[in-house]
Amino acid sequence: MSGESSRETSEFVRLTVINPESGELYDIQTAAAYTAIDPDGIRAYCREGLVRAIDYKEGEPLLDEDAIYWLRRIQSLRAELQLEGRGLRVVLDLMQEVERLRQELRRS
Amino acid sequence: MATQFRDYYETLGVSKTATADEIRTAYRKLARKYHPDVAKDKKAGEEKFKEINEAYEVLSDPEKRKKYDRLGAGWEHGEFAGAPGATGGMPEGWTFHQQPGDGGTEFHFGGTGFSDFFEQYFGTRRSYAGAPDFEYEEGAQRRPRKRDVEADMLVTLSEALHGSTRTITLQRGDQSGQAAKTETLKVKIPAGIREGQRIRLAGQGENGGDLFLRISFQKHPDFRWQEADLYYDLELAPWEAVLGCSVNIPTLDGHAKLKVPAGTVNGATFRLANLGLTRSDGKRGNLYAVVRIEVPEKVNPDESRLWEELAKTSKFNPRE
Repeated sequence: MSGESSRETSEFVRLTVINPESGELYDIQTAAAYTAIDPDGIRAYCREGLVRAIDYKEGEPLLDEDAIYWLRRIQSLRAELQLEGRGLRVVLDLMQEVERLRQELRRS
Repeated sequence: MATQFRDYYETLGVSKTATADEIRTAYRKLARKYHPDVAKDKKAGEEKFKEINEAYEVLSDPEKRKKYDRLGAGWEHGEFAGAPGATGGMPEGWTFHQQPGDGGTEFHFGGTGFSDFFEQYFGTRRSYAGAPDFEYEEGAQRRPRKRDVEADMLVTLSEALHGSTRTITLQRGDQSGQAAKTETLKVKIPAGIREGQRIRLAGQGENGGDLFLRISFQKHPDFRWQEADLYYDLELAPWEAVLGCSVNIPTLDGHAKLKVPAGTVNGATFRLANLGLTRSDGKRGNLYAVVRIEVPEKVNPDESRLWEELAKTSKFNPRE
């Protein structure tokens, strides 16, 4: 879910957060705008399983906020660490596994 | 301004060599005493409850506890006595360092309800660059690269279920030496949010990147959770389990009455439908009460006589 902000005269900036249960999904053009990744690049990432599409519409992936986040992370890993191919996949898998394990640890 | 050290062991009343079980027991006892719903002085109780939760947040996590113990030892020797950011501003985690000349900023984050000390040393913040050519224009001057920032936001189980509004502070300190600028934001935590979900605050990262708040649930004195289901350890006296009883169980919606049938064994589980957290389909998970039969550590002479009579009379032998 994305936040919109509006400036007021006070120090506070009020943000509206969309309720996650509305299940907002983004088409490939919107996802491309949010992530600065070419639509063909996003399609390739979905095909390779690096990012999960929630659904498909007329053959095109529909992506949620989680996918937006991971697309950004892919860009970051490529830009800053020059990771590609197998190396990129390994690091992404590790990041997601660490996140999952951290959550499990918190619950125990 | 130097950050005040917090003695988490003292807060929970345990020794530095306390086991994980001892820490958990101490936490539960104190958290129940100072829980805002039951504390006599609600204002003082709320502050104390926050301190207890923060102490447990660190001491119950093996990695955080190890780090804290090292920090404490260093603190006693006068290390870490400098200004905030003495550790470099970014705690452990996969933090990507900025390229020289990017004019990047340090990013400090507050508002999880924990102290500055916790935020500085245990808050999780990471920053990531956006696409490398996002901000470049042909023939034009290079603009600072947008960076996404990610931070953990701890919410209580009650907030996750019912929703809330949280105030967070973002302090952007420029590495070139300009004074830090603090912004205060109100963020709505939607009802039904799930652990691991991220809230994206567009444009609130560095140089116009986004801020991602990753939701983690704060530990609770009464409940454990697995997905949308909650688990409560129902402690019973031996006679309550043998004879049956009626008990009040805490829930996130108040209390529920549970009839425990006669002959309930240790580990028996009772399902209280739809009293858990929100599932991904919008419905509620369940609350499970798991029986733990507790034995009195000390008995007076009269009680001891009655137990001995029971031992002579009963034909029950668990080892047969």
